[in-house]
Formats: sequence, C-alpha cells, structure tokens
Amino acid sequence: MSDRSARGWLIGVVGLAALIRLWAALTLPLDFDEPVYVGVALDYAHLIRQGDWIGVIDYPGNRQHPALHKLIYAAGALVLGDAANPTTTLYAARLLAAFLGVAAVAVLAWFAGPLAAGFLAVHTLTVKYTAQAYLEAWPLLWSIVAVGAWERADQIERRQQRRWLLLGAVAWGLATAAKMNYVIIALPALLMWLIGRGYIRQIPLLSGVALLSFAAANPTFWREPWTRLAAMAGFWTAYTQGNEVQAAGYPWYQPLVWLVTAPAVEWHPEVFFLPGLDPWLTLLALIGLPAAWRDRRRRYLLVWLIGGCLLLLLWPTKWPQYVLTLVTPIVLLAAPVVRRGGQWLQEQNDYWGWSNLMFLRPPWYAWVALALLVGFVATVYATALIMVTAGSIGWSVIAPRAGELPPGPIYAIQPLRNGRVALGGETGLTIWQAPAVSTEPPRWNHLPLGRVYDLAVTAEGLWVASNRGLALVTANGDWTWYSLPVAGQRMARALAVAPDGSLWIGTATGGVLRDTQGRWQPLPQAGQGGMILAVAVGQNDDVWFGGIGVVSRYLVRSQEWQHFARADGFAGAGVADLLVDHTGVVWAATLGEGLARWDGARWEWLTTANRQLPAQTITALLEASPGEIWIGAARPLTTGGYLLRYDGQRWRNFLPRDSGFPGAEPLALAVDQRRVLWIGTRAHGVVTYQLSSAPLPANEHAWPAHR
Amino acid sequence: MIRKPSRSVLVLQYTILILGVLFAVYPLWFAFLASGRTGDRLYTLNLLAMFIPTEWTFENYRAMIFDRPLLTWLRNSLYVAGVTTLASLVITTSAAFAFSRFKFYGREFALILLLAIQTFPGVLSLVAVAQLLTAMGLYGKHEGLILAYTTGTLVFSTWNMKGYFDTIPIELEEAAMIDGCGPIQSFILIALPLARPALAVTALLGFLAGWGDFIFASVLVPAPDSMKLVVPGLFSLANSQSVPWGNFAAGGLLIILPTIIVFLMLQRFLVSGLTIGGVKG
Repeated sequence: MSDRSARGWLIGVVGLAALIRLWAALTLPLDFDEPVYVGVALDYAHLIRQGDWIGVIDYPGNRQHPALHKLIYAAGALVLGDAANPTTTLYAARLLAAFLGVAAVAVLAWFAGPLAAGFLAVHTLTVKYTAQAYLEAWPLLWSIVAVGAWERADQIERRQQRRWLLLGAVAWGLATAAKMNYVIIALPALLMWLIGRGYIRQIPLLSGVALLSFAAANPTFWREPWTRLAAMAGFWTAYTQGNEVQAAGYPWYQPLVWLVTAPAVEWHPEVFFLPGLDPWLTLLALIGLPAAWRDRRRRYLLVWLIGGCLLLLLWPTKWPQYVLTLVTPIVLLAAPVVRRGGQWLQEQNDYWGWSNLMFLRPPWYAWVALALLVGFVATVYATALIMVTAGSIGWSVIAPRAGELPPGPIYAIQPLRNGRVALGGETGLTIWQAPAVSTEPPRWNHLPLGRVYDLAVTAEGLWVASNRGLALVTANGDWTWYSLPVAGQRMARALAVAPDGSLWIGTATGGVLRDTQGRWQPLPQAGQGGMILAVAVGQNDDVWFGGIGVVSRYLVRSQEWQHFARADGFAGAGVADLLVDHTGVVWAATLGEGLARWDGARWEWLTTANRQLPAQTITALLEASPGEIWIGAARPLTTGGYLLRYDGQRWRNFLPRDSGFPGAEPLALAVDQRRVLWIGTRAHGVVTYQLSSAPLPANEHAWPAHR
Repeated sequence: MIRKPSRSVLVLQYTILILGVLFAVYPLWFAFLASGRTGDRLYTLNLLAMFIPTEWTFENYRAMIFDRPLLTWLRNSLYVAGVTTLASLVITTSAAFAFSRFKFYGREFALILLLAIQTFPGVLSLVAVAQLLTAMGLYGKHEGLILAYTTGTLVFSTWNMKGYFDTIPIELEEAAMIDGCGPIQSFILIALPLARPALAVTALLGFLAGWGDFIFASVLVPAPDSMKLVVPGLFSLANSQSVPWGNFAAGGLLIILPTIIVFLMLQRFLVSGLTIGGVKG
C-alpha cells in the first residue's frame, strides 16, 4: 500500500469512527450509569471552581472507580461554565468520550493498520460505550497506546527501545487511573509479551512506572491510598453479591453472549440501524487464533483473548461494558484473517476477471439520484436531531414512580427552602428534596392530604388547599386541618398570600380571608358565590378571585367588590389561574376562551385568532422573572398540551421537536431558587427546565427551614 | 416509404400523449404538493395551490424521517427486499440453468408444474403460508417474509432465466469444459456473466416483491412497529379518527425513490432481459 493510499485509508477510518460516535453520542438514550458519572463530574467541577483541591481528593462519591475519567468529564463541565447542568454536562461528557474513542481508533490505525482500526471503528458495543458518559473511552485509548508503544519498542533499535517501553508503562498506568479492569484482563498477556520478547529484567521498572503514573493521575489515592484501595476492593467484593447484580440474573457465560451477539444493535435499533459486525469480528478472531498461536510474536493476543474471557467468566459481575477489555485483541486477531481472505479473492479475481464481468456499473445519474436521496434524508435528520439536542438542554422529566412521585395529575407546585419543592397531586402532598451529593437520589416524602389543588407558604408553614379542606403543614412534616367558615363545604380550591402574610382562600362557595391574627372572614361575594378556582393578590391593595364565568375584584380598603362577567367584557368560561404581573396587569387563564389581560380599564383577549396561542384552554400562568410570562395550555379534544413563553413581544411555543418539553398538559408552574422551572402535568409527572438567568434572591418563597 | 402524418393526426397524437403523461404524473405531483403543505391538508381551496406549490414546508418530511419510524421501516424493507433479491438470484439461476442445460427425468413435468403453481392466486395461499411459518417459528419474523417472497418470485424468474440461458450457445460452456472447467465453474464463470440482463430482471423482481408488497407484509409481520415494513408501516399512520395526509404524502414519496434508483441502476439490462427471456422457451 502506498503512503498516499495508507493516509487515505487512515483518514477514512478515523472519519468513519468520528461520524458513528458523534451520531451515537447525540442519539443514544440515557444509560444506567451516566447520571452517576455526570453527577460526580459536576461535583468535581464545583469543587475545582471553588479551589477546593482537598475536596477533590477526598470526594466520597463513586470511589469504587478511580477518579481520572470523571475528572475529564469535570473538565467538560468547567468549560461549560454557568451553562453546566446535568443535561449539558452529559452531552459534553459524551463528546469527550467520543473524541477519546476516535483517538483510540487513530492510534490503532497507526500501529496495526487501517483494517484493524476500521473494525474498532464499527464495533457497535465499543461505539456505544465510547459515545456515552461511561468510563471506557479513556482506558481503551491508553491500553491501545500502551500496546502500540510496546510493539513499536520491539521494532526499533535497542537504544530507543526503553523510551517506548516506558511510554507503554505510563499508558498502562493512565488507563488504570480511569478503570482498573483493563490492566487486570490484559495482565497475563502483558507478562507473556515482556517475557517472550526478552524484557523480563525490565518488568520491575515498568511496573513501578505504571504504578507511579496510576497514582499521579488518580487524586483519590493521594491520601490514605491503602485504606482507599482496601475500601475499593471491599466494595467490589460486596457488589458482586449485591442486589443490582443479583437482579440482572446474568448466567456465568454471559460475557460470551455479549461477544457473539451485537447487543448494542438490539438495544438501540434506532441508533445502530445497520446489522452489527460484532459477532462476525469475534468469529474472525477465533479463526485467527491458530495462526496467532503459531506466530510467537502474536501469541500474547491469544492469551489476552482466552485469558480475558476466562477471567470475565469467573468474575460474578457480567455487565456488557466489561467485554470492551477484549475488543483490542479481537480486532488485532480478526484483521489478518480478513487480509488473507482478501488477498486470496484478489488473486482469484485477477485470474478470472469475474468482478469486471459481473459487477454493476450504474450510470452516473443513478449515483446522483442515490446521493440526493441519502443527502436529503441525512440533512433533514441531522437538522431535526440538532434542534432536539440543542433544545433538550436543561430539561428533565420526573416520571411517576412507586415510592417517589405518585401517579396522577400535579395540580400545584410550591418551591420551599433547602432545595425542597412541594408537589400537590391526586393523593396528597409530595415533598421533593434535592440530594446533598449528586450521586445520591433525591428524597421523597408523601403526606396523604387528599386531592391537593393549591399550595401557599406563610411564616406559619405550608398551606395546602385540598378536597378535604385546608391544612397547615409545618416544617417537621406534621399537619393540622382547619375548618373554613363556609357552611356545608370543606373543600379549599385556591390560595394566595398577601405581602402582609394574610391568606386568601377560594372555596366551592366564594372566598375566605385568614388575616395575620388568625381570624377568619367569609367572603361570599367572591365569584358571585360560586366555585373559586384561582386567587391572586394585586398590587393596588386588591385581591382577585377567578370563578366560573366571572372574575371578582375585592378592594381591601374600601371593602368593595367588582365583578366581571360576560356582559362586562369577560368570558363565560372558568378561570383556571390568575396572575398579577410586575406591572400590575392581571392575567386570567380561561378554560376555553383564551387568555385575558386587565389593564385597569378593560379586558384584552389573547386567543388563537389574534395571538400565537395554539389553544384556548389555558391551564397555568407564571411570571418567572419580570416580563417573562410562562403559559400552560391544554390541547383541544385530545391528551397533551403546550408550554409557551411570552416576553412582552415574542411568543415561544416549546414543542417536543425543538425542546425537551414532552408535550404534556401543564397544570401548575413554579420557579425555584435555583431558577429551575417546575411544570406539573396531568399525566407525565413533573417536567423541569433550567432557566438561564441568575438565581432568585434567597428570601423568595420563604419557608421555615428544617430545625 | 414512411408517410408523414397530417397535422390534425399529430395534434391528436400529442394530445393523447400529453393527457396520458398528465394522468400518469399528476398523482405523484399531487402527493408532492400535499407533502409540502402546512396543516396536514390533502386538498386546498386555493386554485393555484392545487397545481403549484404556493406555500412550502419540510415539516412533513421532518416528521416522517425523525418523529416516525420511517427509517426503521426503510431499513426493514431494504433488508427483506435485499435478501429476497439475493435468494431469488441464487435459487432461480441455478434452477433455470439446470432446466436449460440438463436432461433429467421429470424435467418437462416440473416446468409445467411451475406454470400451474403460477396460476394459483398468491393471496389465497396467505393463510397456509402463515400457518407454515408459524409451524417453522418464522411467523412475525423478517426471515419468514423473505421465504414467502422468494417462493413467490421463483416461478416467473425461473422461466425467464431458463429462456435466457436457452439463448446462450452451449458450445461456450463446452469449450470451457474442454479447458478444464467443471459444470459449476462453467455455470459461474461462463453462463452467469452472459446472462446479466436476465439476472437484472430477476433482481428487480425480487426487490420489488420485498419492497412494495402490502398484504403479505402486514399479515406475516403484523407488529411491533420496529419490525414493520415500509408500506404497512405507512398504512399504520392512519387511524379511525384521522389520517396525517401530509406525513402520508411525504412518506409515500420517500419510499418510491429507492425503487426508482434500483431501476436506474439496472436500466441498461432490463429491456433486453425481459424481451429475450420472454420470447424464448
């Protein structure tokens, strides 16, 4: 092969590897361990940003794996700066992993040729785990660098050998600093290589260098290395008998199944849409074993593959990513088999000329048509993929799950202090507590308070409006029911807190006031005595009540009432939510007639006809920051809904195709102190979205702290 | 002597031809217009928009390519059609070569039996084929469908190939045998390259059998969505309450293009492959 041709193949193989891994990084779904590693990376990034290097060394999370790969992912989070959150860091980590995976292909191409590198480029299990935020890409790269360096050492004159041997040792250390199983699996083969090639005396030196580079690249072991190493070993011993491993229930021969199938294709047919070559590569490697055994210089590959297989069969944990430790010998064994087969076919064809006779030579316009079709589909897909990927940054979904978020609609959301958020749903109040360390799951606390319609916070605690009445939940989780001064009605439907701390309540028959002294005052005029669905406190010493086909305004000082019904320019539909924005304009969300704005003189209607509202059933309103109005709407005649943002001039409809919003029907909107928008939905649990602006002042959404 | 037709005859001829072309092309053009129209509408009241695109969106193409599993269906169809093509080529060429070159007991009977099988409507065999595939554990699998399609293409393709092999002088193979070729070598190295036009026809028929079928594909691989072929998959977009016409049109246009490309690739061989094989027997 000429230099130019070799360079062309090299570029082609590396380009192919990059294309496949980029595609996989953007399209693969979130995998089991990714949130853990991304969480650790965010924590590391936080510690590094604070200059807390001791914190990095002593970081307690995920100590069972060395720190290096997670620190590399933390570098991605650091580059992202303020934009770093679980979603953006996940994609940054995936892109870093993909880059390392491509580098592994390039290094393999350098010392073993483009054919072996091409096999590594298309090995689907390798593609999957080097395009996700796992801990495989770095050790795979450095284990290949190590093998390449030692092969190189063996091919050059003796004076320069030591440099390459030392580089190989450093590379093994770096690989181990990210994940230890690569060196464990390869160890018998490495010893065989060193002994077989006459480097037996170098073993202590090379082992020392590898250990040094391992220790230098792994900050966890900079303090109490033996204790931590022992803890790591203890973890893995216990883990093999743990619930997770037992629940998976893989048989002892599962590693062989991973090797002789293409599991990544089975799991992700939408990503790997062509048949996987993985089982064929394994077969080719097996075919190549006898030749490797006969060749003393390549015998270590046989030991690597067979010995590694035996070790994986003996080890009780059978996760699929473990077989990546065997991919290097597989592709190195498979490549010569294919090369020999290709040479034989070439000789046959040179004699018979059969390919010239039989192979199609389509006309140029057929190629043009094919290129246009493929190009069109690829362009449309890539554009849509980029829109969705970019749009999904900052979004996540908390789906209903036993023991966590109960199923059913979320009617109310109230952010609390200490990173907690109260969620009112069909079966009661659920309090979500952010984890202290990213590797831990959030905590959930459920209080059976009936169907919770609304929530509000005063200095006394969290008020809960439910179909069972009005309850006050204190910081320690106890609750007290209050009797409303409304004859024959227990239900509390809506709540609002005035700046002075008085509580305004909507009931099935008008309103109720609970003043700062704890006195109750019925307000039967509210909503003209009907059901009150929403309450909002205005800026002009007034309180607004939204009822069925009427909005009532109560002027507190003069104790006068104003009612707005259809005859007064309002709608006949129910009012699902009321909002008084920072300018004092009152927004009324109606169930079927659109959005109404009261500017002090008249109602202005925003509908599907005159504004960019996609539906007229408006379910929730929120002013996340001055002038930034968020609107939830329900789809007519079907399930699902819309989420819109209005900044005073422009409307943005968050669609599943260009954002992470799943198209659920929003019922409640709130923003917490971290500027996370919480969206309670009818059937999709809770959706969160990290807003980009600065955090709210700490005194927002005051709630008594945990004592 | 060729007599020049009169002007009125020419006008009549061209009118008929233009009407024929319009009749053939308008459905495609209609689907093209619907595929770029906003709001999932099949029709428009705008007179101009009935004939030319006055508004255009790629949303339907985006929805079909990205939101719907069209690419998965295309991959499934490509797999089924591709393997059917290969299987048809292997089986029919070897069978046709045997019928053409060898004299054996039952040869005439087998050829007539093949024709008799061809007269049996394929749809009527559907239940029996489904039962057979179920017994073989291939129901609901692409491999079962490939088996059904391959058997469906056997008769015509074998006859067509046999007709073509009959036109190739046997002396060429005899000469090769004198030079040391065995029967298999003379088949692969001499007869097959000479039968390329007929091979192209067999390939195209095999591909079309796997690509465009609806009835067998929807009955033999009914679910899940990820296993469907492209035509039944497209049909499944419609439900009892609505039909996403825009998506339907965009998907329809996207699935006919591979067929056109295959036709373009095989075009050189098609005409001679069909006519020569068809008239000899």
